[in-house]
Amino acid sequence: MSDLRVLEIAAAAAELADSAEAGRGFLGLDPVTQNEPLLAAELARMSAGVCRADDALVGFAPNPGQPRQMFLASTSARPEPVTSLLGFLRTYCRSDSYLAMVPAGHPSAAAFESCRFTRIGTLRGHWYQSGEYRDITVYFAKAAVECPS
Amino acid sequence: MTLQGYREDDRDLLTGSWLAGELLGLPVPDRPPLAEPATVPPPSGDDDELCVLPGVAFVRYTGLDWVHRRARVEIGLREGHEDAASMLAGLAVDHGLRDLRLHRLYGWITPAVSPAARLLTEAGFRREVSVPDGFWLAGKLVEREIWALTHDE
Amino acid sequence: MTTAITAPAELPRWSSRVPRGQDREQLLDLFTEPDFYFRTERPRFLPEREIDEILGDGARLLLADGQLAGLYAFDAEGSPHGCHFSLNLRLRASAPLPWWISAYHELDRAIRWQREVVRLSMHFAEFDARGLRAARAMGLTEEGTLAGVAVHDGRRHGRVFFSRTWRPAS
Repeated sequence: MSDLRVLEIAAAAAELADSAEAGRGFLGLDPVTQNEPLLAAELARMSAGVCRADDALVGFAPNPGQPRQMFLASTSARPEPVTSLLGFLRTYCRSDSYLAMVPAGHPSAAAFESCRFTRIGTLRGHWYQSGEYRDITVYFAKAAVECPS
Repeated sequence: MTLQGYREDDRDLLTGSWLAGELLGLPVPDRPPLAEPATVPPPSGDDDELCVLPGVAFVRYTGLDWVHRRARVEIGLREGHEDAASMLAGLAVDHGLRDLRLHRLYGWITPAVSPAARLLTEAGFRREVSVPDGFWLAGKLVEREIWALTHDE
Repeated sequence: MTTAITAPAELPRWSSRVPRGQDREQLLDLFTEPDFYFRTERPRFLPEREIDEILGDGARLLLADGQLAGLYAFDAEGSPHGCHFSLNLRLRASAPLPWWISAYHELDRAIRWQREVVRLSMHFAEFDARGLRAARAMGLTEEGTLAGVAVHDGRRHGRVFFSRTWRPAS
């Protein structure tokens, strides 16, 4: 398990900006094309939370139609930061289910798959990066799912 | 009939008895009379475009992203104009792809109440994701779907 | 001896809307009723500015057969995931008790149609005879009184809390 340190929005935006490629697609944000003030404004608009978990950033934002369902993101392929975040959300936010929207080729796909998230669909051409449109894979899990580590 | 820019006189179109955030917002049956109506704000900035078919409906393109060239679409139809749904879906696609030059339009559909699947398919949308427990409706969690239309140039 | 049977008050068709400019005169008039305790315990003494503040924060007109019958507002208490809400509901003096009960049940149904609700609470001042009678008739659980927090007629009074709770969805 990773220790989680909740970041203030401005600090979260700065750390996302520093995360380079790993931060692309994090809660739908792109630190390469969006500057820090814009990242911060978007995090605030989403009522998002961002935590540092060892060498990774993990984030969550409530589904506006159903606040006990959280959109999740991670900058890492390791499952431990996601495991910690799931525990935090279940305990402190009564979260019931989770969605993760991961651009094709992003390392966090491995983390969500390790935590037994299920692929529930693909957003075709939803993400533009490095000169081409890429798909977004949508993952889902109910709160009862626990990561293996 | 064509979409037009929003005017203050169109304000009444922005509030109605569809589900908040719905791609094709039709009045919901068995809605309690005191349930808070859905409402969208008038257009206010670069990431939000809203057009109207006067007296009938609005079409909103929100989360407009000029890097990914996509927008989330919401259509709200006034009660009594449900038969205009098919036309509105077509107008929304036309304006989004041709006038805004977007690559992708997407939005949320709540299948428990929406009869829109056929209309949306005819307009070129496809269901891409079904999200379990994605919405609270009539006292329980229900599925919500993401439908999208991607224009390959 | 026969007992006169009183027909139950007919219940109106309820509707609601956001306050608009043309409602202003009627709304100001509501607050001249001595016990129109909607977000205030001193309605008759409020200046227009304060009434505007009270009406600006999520208040809705409650209409009975299209006529203004009162005001209500839901407020979220705490985090969205807590699913706790408080309801402020006030009907004008001419509204009979069955209208209070009917309006409450319609509002209860409306909010639970749109949101998960685990707790819905209401409170009324100890000196609010009309409100307390309505709350007790609505079938809410009377939880207790927070003593001495309101001033009325030169004396301190408490605030009485009521609630209804539901099992969380999960």
